[in-house]
Parts: sequence; structure tokens; C-alpha cells
Amino acid sequence: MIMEFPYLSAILASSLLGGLAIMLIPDHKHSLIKLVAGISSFISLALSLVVFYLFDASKPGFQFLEKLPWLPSLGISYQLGIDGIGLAMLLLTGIVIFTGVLISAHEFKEGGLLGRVGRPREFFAMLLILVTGVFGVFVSLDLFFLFLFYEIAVLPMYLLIGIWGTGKKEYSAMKLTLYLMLGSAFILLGILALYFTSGLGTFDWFALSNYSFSERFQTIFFPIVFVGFGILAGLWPFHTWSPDGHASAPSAVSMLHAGVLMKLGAFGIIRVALALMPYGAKFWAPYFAVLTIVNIVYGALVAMNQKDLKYVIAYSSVSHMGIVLLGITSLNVISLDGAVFQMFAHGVMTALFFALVGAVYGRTHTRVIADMGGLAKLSPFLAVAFAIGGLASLGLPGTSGFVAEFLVLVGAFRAYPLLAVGAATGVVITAIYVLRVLQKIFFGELNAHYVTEGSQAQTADEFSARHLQKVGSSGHHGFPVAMGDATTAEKIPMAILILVIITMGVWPSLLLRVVNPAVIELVGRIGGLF
Amino acid sequence: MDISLLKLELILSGLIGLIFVLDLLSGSKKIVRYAAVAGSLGVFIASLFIRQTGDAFAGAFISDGLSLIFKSLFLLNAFIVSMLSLGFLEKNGRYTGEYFTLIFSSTLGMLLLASSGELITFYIALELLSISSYVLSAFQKSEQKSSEAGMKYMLLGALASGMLLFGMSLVFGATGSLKFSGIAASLSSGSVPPIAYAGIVLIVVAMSFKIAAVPFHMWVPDVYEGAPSPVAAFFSVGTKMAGFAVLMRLFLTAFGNLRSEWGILMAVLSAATIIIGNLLAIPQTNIKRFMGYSSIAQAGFVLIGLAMATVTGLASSVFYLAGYLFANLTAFGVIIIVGSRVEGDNIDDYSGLAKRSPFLSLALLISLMSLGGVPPLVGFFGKLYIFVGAFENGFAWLVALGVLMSVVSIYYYLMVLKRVYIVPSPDTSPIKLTFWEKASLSICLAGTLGFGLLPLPLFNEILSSVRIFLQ
Repeated sequence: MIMEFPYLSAILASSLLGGLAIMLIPDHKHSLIKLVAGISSFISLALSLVVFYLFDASKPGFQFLEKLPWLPSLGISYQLGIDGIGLAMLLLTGIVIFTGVLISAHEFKEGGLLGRVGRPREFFAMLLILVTGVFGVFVSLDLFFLFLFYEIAVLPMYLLIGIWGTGKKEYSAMKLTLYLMLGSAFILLGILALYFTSGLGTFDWFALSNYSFSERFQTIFFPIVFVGFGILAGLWPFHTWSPDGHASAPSAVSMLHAGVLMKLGAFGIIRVALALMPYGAKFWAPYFAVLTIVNIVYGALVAMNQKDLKYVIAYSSVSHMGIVLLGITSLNVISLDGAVFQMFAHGVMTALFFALVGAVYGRTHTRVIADMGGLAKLSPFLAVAFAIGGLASLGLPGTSGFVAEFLVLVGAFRAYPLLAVGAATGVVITAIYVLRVLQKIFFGELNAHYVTEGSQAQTADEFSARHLQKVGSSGHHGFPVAMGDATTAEKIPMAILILVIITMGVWPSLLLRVVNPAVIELVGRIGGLF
Repeated sequence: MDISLLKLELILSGLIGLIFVLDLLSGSKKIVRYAAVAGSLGVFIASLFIRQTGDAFAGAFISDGLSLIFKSLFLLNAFIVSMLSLGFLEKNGRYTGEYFTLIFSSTLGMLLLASSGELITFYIALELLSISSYVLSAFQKSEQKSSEAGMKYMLLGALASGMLLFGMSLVFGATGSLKFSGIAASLSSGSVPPIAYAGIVLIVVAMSFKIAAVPFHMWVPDVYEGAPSPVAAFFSVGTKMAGFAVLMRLFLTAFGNLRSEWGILMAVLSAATIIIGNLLAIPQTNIKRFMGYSSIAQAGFVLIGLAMATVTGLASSVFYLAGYLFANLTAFGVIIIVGSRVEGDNIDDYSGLAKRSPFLSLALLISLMSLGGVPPLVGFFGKLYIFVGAFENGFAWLVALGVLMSVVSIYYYLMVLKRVYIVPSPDTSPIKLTFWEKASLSICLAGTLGFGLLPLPLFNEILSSVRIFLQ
């Protein structure tokens, strides 16, 4: 028999080896570092696309299986495999890391947002190691490895935000790390409990999924695992790390974190909590569903009241992750299809948003919405891109956001009619704040600053002296205010993200055709509550 | 009687004599230093090949798989600490011979402790270890803090010794035997006299002092802070490990059938140690005090495995200690090197280290994350095995506590790494490392990473030894 090429391991290896290779490059060879990071992330993306293409949607269950015993005495094996849900996430991660690396490479330019801190070697190495962990979680079929990859995905974040972040970065980085470590403590407890209670002596997901845990066990441990992963998914009231973290992180890290890492939480809930403890899921879903409504509505309301552009996007992530979690807790095929689709759609959309916020901030040196205005005249591309992202965010038909929210709301209405109405109001509020931000920043009168000061291309020292007091962030002096439209280096990643948003909006079955069989199998396992 | 069982101890005694003579005869301290490093490496390698097991002196000296593992770890500790001491001794070279004599005689005490099968041998080995340690901690006699540390350590140590002797005499009175096997035989036949319990409690208290378990941990931060950094590194790993080695043998052979009673006691001690160690590490500003509290917390985790008193429990404790050796010596290696360059041990002195030496920063990052229990480093597997053992024995509450406290430990380890990686420093002059510094750190890092990625061979080796030991 011909050995099948281990695509999934190759994806992991390409980012891990990329990260390790970068550590060996001398620190001053910036372009080589960027090149290696770019190639490594491109290989991951290309391989994810190949897997997406080769994946046979007509077959149920997992594909691309790989298995190597690793710690047989504890029943741990390196076991990879992917179903439609994991596949959607794999593709998302490939897209976001590739565009994220492109955006970071741009920001590391002389005078760029990251360039003023420097140390690109450590940045890209950590980014790629982090993404190895992310890929790893999505493809692991051994709970032990799932946990191990999860930790690898979470911890580099501390340094990525702490070193290259802005504002109160140290506070945000520590808060984020501690919250997520607390979550992983819950997860570890849950995984150990599953391991021991089953008595099978294995962390193998297949073996555990065939074992039926007692109802009492499931009612105790489902909420532990759900909350553990839920912390990373931004579940209210454990979400407070996310706005601070996302607002302080550099663009690429926010893109990855809001775009992909929060999905790790939702994915973990599906893969571990729902699949292994179906009775617990049925028992607890209605209660957690109430929390997700708070997520949606509260997140949107808070986003509406933010003055800082990045906080608006960060709170909108909390709100949108609420939609994902609502889809999950509604426990039916349509809602779960929607949840997975929303994970993908929100990942791409929020990556675009954070890339845009970085680009806008790089030009205006402020994130205070009130201090901006009329940027469309100076940067038409950014304005169009922001409009598309915004429209996807509020769920305009023709964008990926519409498909996702529609599916979730239809599914949720079947499960919890009253709650679904509440969720729908969240969508309306989203429209209000997205359009308000769009109008204030890009349209209307050109802000006086840019007419009198920006157009004369003065240095940032004078320019930002006034602005910094308003933003209250740490100083960044000595680079000119570069107004003007997006450069090609910025346009390419943004164009990729926009392309994905529109493609998935007009042709959702491209993704749903692989997601749906996996969801049907999952719901079959739960036995369907609604 | 088979004296050849004591080969390792005899070789080490020979090394001590050699160092002494070399120091006396040769004018160059350099030769003494290199002889010590080469000699300790030699004994360590010898320990890997000498696998003879059996009893000597009518059961007073026991050589089995478990004691051999511990001996290799003690000798590795002595070898690495010898390398890390070279920089310190270049500056304070006058008493080089005495320094190594004390380090090695303390190590000899550890070897004998791991093999002791009788109370008197146990006591004498412990005193050999302790008295050498008191002198070592006061080694910089011109420094007030060092003398204070030595004095404090000695007074409290003497108190603990007294309690230990008292406890031993009660146990002897109750059982009429000094040998562990004799005590076990006496305790398993008929009812256990209450006085034996009093003896056991006194022994636990005295040994808690050695392994720095709460509430007998107060000396640790003071001694670590005052003692020379290489000596603190030596204590933090060696002394603690030796205490555990003898505790395991004593409690599982002599008091084996009372394990349900002392198991609870140890579980409570471990919980208190983990909580106090972790919480008190947070406000520290001196890196050596910080490491002191961190090592207290680490001892708490080892105690969990001991409290289980099962094959997996004990094996995970031993594995945890092995991982702790590598990670803690890496961290102390960085502390020794940075301390010698910046002339200070404040955590704030570590600001901007990432720019001054990426290698040292990475070493500190890896070691602290391993101590915090982050995968895929060796510390994670240590914790995992411990938790697995505790779960199996129905101590889920200890697992929950341990997991939560690991999160706390991540917080304070990150506070140090924050200085290293995030806080800038006015001084950006690069730190150059000597060959020996690089070599010792590389060995420790290799252990931290290697046994993290492939924990199985070491764990299996430990598991099979423990299985034989518990039969």
C-alpha cells in the first residue's frame, strides 16, 4: 500500500520549522526573516487548500488520519485527522496567518507600527510557533495532544502583546494569559476526568467518543469543559480579557487572536464537550444559551459606546462570538452549521477589520473615533474595504456574515424562540455601531487635522504631541505622518480577505457542503434536543 | 557483607581526598577547579554504569534501583553545580579546595541517605549532608548576609535534628528495632502503640524542614538569599531531593502499613505547601528569595505523589524531581551568571535581558515555563504524572488545587519574564558567556526539553525501579 502523504503533519511542520528556522537567522537580516515567515505561512495556506480540495465531502467521519504511538503507557498517541468542522477552521487559519504575516511584514518597515519596536526575529518566530499550536488543535484526535497544542497556541500571546503591543499592553497581556490559563486549567481537569472515568486508559478521541459516560458525570463535567473552552471563546462573563487583549495587541496578533484563537474555544466546545458529553450538553444548553444572548446584546451595546476604534472591533468580536455560541447551544443541524460558518466568517471579517484598524492607526496615529473623519477622501481603498467588512459584520446578504447569522438565527428560533428574538436585536445594534463608525471615520468632512497638518506631511513629533494626550498611549516619535491610500503591500492581504468574504457570501455551499455532514453526525450523536 | 556495593560512595570519597591533596600540594587553584569538575563528571558517569543491587551491613545500607536513580541525580547535580561555581570561585578563589570538599561531602551524605535502611545510618548521613551545608551557606564569611544565612540554617537545622532524634527514639522504643524492615515487621504485628505515632509525626516535622514543606519553610528564602548563588542552587535541588529520597524509603518500608494515616498528613502538608509557596512567591523582589518560594511550591507537588504511596504516585514524584533538577538548575544558572555580571539579585536587574543575552533569556524562559508546568517541557509531564496519580487515588481536590495553583505560578514566573522581555533597560551591553557557563546551561536545557519531548524512557526506568522497590 502506498503511504498517503501526511498533509496534516506537513501543515504543522511547515509553520513549526518556519518558526525554528527564523530563530537561527541573524537578527539584522530583516528581509530574510520576513521571507522565511512568508514562505512558511504560504506553504501552510497552500497545503490547507490542497486538503480542502482533496477532502471527500461525500464520506462521513474523519479523513487524512495519521497515528503514531507516543506514550503508550498513558495511552497517548500522536493522532491527527480532520472532519468538515476542523477543515473549515484549518482553511481559516491558513488564510489568516498568511495575511497576518503579510500585514506584519509591512508594519515592520522602517517607521511602521512594529518597526519602532523592532525585533522581527522573535516576533515572527513566536507567531509561527503559536500558529502551529492553532493548526494542531484543529487536527488533533487525541485529547492530550489537543491540550498540548492548545497551550502552545495560548502562551506566546503574552510576549507578542507584551512586547509589540500598544497602550496598557503589560496589563492586557497578563490579564489575557491568566484568564486563558485558568480556562486551560478547567480543560485539563475535564480531560483528566474523561480519561479516568472512562477507564479505557487512552486519550484517543475515537475510543472516548464510543464510551458513554454516566449522566451524573456528564452533568458535572460538561459545564467545566464548556466554561474552560468558553473563556477562550469570549463567553460572557469571562470575556473581559478579550477587548483589552485585542485592543493592545499589534495588528497581526489581533487578527490571529480574534480571527482564529477565539475559534479554538468554540471548536474545543464542539469537539470535546459536545461530542463526548452529549447528555451534559442537552442538560446545560438552555442555561448557557442565556449567557450567549448576553454576549450578543451586551457586546454590541458596549461596542456602540466605545470611543476607541479598536475597542469597537474588539467588543464586536465578543458579540459575534456570542452568535457562534448561540448556534452551538441550540444543538440542531441548522444552528450548528451556522455556528461553524460564523466561526469562519467572523474569523475572516475580524482579521480584515484589525488589519484595517492597523492601517488607519498607522496613518492617523490615533484610534479615537472622534478625532478622525473623511478619510475616504485620502484613502479610498481602506474606506471600501472597511465598508465591505462592516456590511459583512452586520449581516448584509451577499456577504459571508449574512449566511452565518441567518443560519444561526433560524436554528436558534427553533430551539429558543424568545432568545432568538433577543439575538436578532443584537444584529440591529451591530448595524448601528458599524455604520456610525464607518460614517465618522471615512465619510463626512475631512477632519481639520488632515487638511491643515496632515497634508503638509509634517513629522509625527509635532503631530502626535497633541494626539497622544487624547489617546493616552505610549510615545512613538520620529516617523512622518503618511496619509494616503493603502500601499500594494497592504492591499494584497486585504484583497484576499475581501475575496473570501464575498465568495463565501455568494457561494456558501462551498464550505457548507463539507461542514454539513460533520454537523449531522455530531447532532446524531447528541440525539438532537430541538 | 558486600562492600563492593559502596563503590560509588568510595569513589566519591576518593575524589574528596584527591581534591584535598591537590589543594594542599599544587599552588594553582585552577587545577583544583578543573579536577573537581572532571572528577564530578567522572563519578556521575560511573553512577550510570554501576548498577549493582543488594544489601550491606546487615541491611543498614540498601542499594536498589530507586537509590541508584537518586544517586545519579545527586551526582549530576554536583557536576552541574561544580561547573556553575567556577565563575564564583575565580573571584573568591582562596578556599577553592574547601569549597569542593564541602560540596562533595554533602553529596556523599545524599548518596548515603538514599541508601540508608536503618535509623542510625539515616541520621549520620543526614548530618553529613547538613553540617557541610551549614558551612557552605556561610561560605562568603565577609558578607554579613551569608554568615547570617549560615547561622540561621544551622540553628534551625539543629532543632530539626533534635526532633528527628527524638522521633527516632520513640519509634525505636515502640518497635524495638532500628532497621526499617524490623520496624515494619513490628508495626504490622498486633496493634500500633500510640507512641509510635508521636515518633512518626516528629520525623515528618524534621524532614519537612529538610524538604522545606510548610510550615517549616521559613529558612528557605533567607538561606537562598544569603548563601552564594551556586550554593543556593545546590541546596534547592540536592538537599530537597535527598530529603525526599529518604522519606520515600522510610515511610514506604518502615511505616508502610500505616500509609493511610500518614498519607492524609502528607496530603494536607502538600496542599499547604503549594498554597503558601505560590502565594508568597508573588510579592518577592529578590530573585533568589523568589526562587526559594518557588522551590517550596515545587516541593508541595512532589509531596502529592508521596502522599499517594502507590507505584504511579512515587514514580511521578521521582520523575517530577528529575525534571525539577534540570529546570531549577537552568534557572539558577541564569541567576548565577546574571548576578555575577550586574552585581545584584533584584528581579528588576533582569530588565532588558533579552537584548543583552538572547540565550540567557531563552534559558530562563524555558526553565521558568517548565517549573510552571507548560507543555511540552519536562515540568509539564511531572505535573501531569502527579495529577494522574492523585486522580487515580481519589484525591481530585488536590488535583484541582494543584491545577489552579499552577495558574498562579504562571503569573509570577511571567512577572520575571516580563522584565526580561518587555521592560527595557538603560544598560544594553551584551553579556558574554564563558565555555563552562554555556556548557552547564546547555546540559540543563537539553534535559528540560529532551525529557519533555520524550519523557517515556526516563519514566519507564523510574517506574520499573519503583515497582521493584514497593514489592
